[in-house]
Amino acid sequence: MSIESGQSAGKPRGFSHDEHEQLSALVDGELEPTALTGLLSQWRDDEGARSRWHGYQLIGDVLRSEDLASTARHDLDFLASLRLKLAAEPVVLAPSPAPHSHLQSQSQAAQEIDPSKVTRLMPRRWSRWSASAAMAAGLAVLVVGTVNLMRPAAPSAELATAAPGNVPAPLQTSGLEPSVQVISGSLIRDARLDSYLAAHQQLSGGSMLGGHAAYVRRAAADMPAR
Amino acid sequence: MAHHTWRHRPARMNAPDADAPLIERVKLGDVKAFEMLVVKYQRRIERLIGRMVRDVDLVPDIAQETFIRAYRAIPQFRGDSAFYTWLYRIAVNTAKKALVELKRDPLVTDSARASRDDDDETSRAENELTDGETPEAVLASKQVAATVNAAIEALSEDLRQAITLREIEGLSYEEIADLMNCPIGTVRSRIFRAREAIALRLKPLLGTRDGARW
Repeated sequence: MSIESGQSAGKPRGFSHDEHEQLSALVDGELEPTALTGLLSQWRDDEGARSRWHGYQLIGDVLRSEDLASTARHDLDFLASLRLKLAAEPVVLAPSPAPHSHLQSQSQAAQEIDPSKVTRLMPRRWSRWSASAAMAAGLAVLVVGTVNLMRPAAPSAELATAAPGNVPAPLQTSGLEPSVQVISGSLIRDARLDSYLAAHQQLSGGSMLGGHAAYVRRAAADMPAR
Repeated sequence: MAHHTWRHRPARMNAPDADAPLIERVKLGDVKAFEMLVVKYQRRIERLIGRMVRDVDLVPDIAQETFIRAYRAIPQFRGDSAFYTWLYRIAVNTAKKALVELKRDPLVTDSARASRDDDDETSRAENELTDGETPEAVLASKQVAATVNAAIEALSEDLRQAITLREIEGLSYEEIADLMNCPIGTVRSRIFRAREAIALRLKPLLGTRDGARW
């Protein structure tokens, strides 16, 4: 009983040793893509290659589990019956790849990235940003804290009520004009102005080093006065 | 026998793209490539269905329906999972559907009736002769398994290690090359030679009827 359909009229030349080895590699999914087309086109016409394919697969199955052992007759009958049913099916045709197939395949590959890998990658990139931001925020807190500690208590409390929620109050709406005084040759600025500047430094994209240096100067100016 | 200890370890199905080249060919309309996939997975699918469906006579039909459904749906297969995982789901759904239809259908086969009459494990074991297999066919299957085992034992250490690392442990050629400290080409050659040696021993058992062709 011949169950092969579409056999070519010419006698197939048969698989070479190398092609059999390629068939073995295809079983393992390790065949070079360039070799696949030629191998498959010859596989169609080579009875021995098809029989080998079954033998290789059966060996793998039996090695993994003895209850997968089967006879060639059973497997062949199954395939013969299925072939008849497949012949009645319309030919499967997926949309062919666009000319920019490499770009498409890359895009598709990107879509099929394992989500677990994505989640492993994203925190790494995010951590780089967050580390910088955390360092900057820490410096700002340290500077503001230092300034507040060195400032007289009353103005600080006044500022805290004037600007709830750490939102810097506009100077012109605070009701108190910021003043600059010179005492004993030292330049003393209103503490509210410093606080405003500190908050402004945090919100602006200015250099943290510049802002920090300003307060270092301010602290140095204050120290002799105490 | 060392490979018996490995056998009970599940093979690492860590290569969802192992079937990708064939699947791509099927999507281009290559039915033969689909047949290659059928030959690869038919036994596993039949065993799976055989564990779900008590009517052993239905196993081949449900397995064939599974492959037909897979063939129809393969353009939508995106490769998010391994092909076998996808096929496995289709097989389970097809078997469930068959079971539902079986309950509706008063005409059931003798083997199904027998398994309903007696649900204990003994009767189950007696009904393990699936898809109309004869005791001779079952014996032939056992001979196949015994021959493969004997052939594996007869292989040189290098060939045995290469084929078992691939087939049982599911390692890639690259991983096997690392383990065996040899080039990938040598791994590929050893696995091929191992298969050829085993297939040679199997050849008398794998003869088909006169005129039957793969």
